[in-house]
Amino acid sequence: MATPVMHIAAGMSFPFFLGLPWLLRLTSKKLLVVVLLMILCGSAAVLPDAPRYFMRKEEADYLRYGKGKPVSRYSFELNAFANAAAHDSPYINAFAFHGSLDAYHSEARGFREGILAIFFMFLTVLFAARAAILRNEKEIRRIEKNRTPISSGGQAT
Amino acid sequence: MLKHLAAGLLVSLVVLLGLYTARGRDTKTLAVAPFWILFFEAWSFLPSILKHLPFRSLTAGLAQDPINNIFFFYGFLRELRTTGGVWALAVICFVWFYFLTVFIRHLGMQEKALKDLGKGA
Repeated sequence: MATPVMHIAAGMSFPFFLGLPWLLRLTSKKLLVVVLLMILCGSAAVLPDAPRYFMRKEEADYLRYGKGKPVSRYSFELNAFANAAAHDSPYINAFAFHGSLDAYHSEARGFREGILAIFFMFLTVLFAARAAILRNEKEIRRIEKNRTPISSGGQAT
Repeated sequence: MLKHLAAGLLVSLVVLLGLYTARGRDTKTLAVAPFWILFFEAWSFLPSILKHLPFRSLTAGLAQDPINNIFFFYGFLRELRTTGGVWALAVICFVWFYFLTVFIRHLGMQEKALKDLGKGA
């Protein structure tokens, strides 16, 4: 089982890497598309685990580790069914390799790698946006400087 | 870990967006924001790093309760026995994307200004 951090990082990485060439010459529309796709893909990556987030902790533990006492609440059974259906589906890897990431066993279940990846992506996008803002500001200053002042009778400065 | 990072980001959101708005949507304020975010994130996580630095007698004191609460309530957050990981992650993502929407709006404003300047020239 991988942590949600790892799943979200894996999901966000697809639009991030696809949008990397855009980040070099960023506009507001391109940034909006990259950000929206990152939200969408990050959310989609944790979708198969979503039923578990609506369970109580002891129910989720019972489902994952088989420990504790079985519960027979209708909502739990519904969530357990949805969880099993999502994880047994042959299409689970369509959700940003969710199945493969769950099969990968590490001590921290990909927590550290996930948080590092998320922060790397966020900072890269943020600094790309910063560069675009500074570039635009410079361009505005340049145009304003070269503009023909009305008072000078149409002569360029 | 996620709780501390979320706290650092929340503080940076309030401080930086407050400054940005107070200075009349100033480009320079927004341009230095990523560096301040990095600083706030490092500050919120500092007690964990201090324990591993040299001069431990000096630095480890800062990492102890209750002094460590100057690092955006580090001690208080550490004692929170909740399964707050997912919530903290949600806060991190929300704050980050909120920051990016501010950048998007500012970029949009600049592009409009550039377009107007191009028409006017």
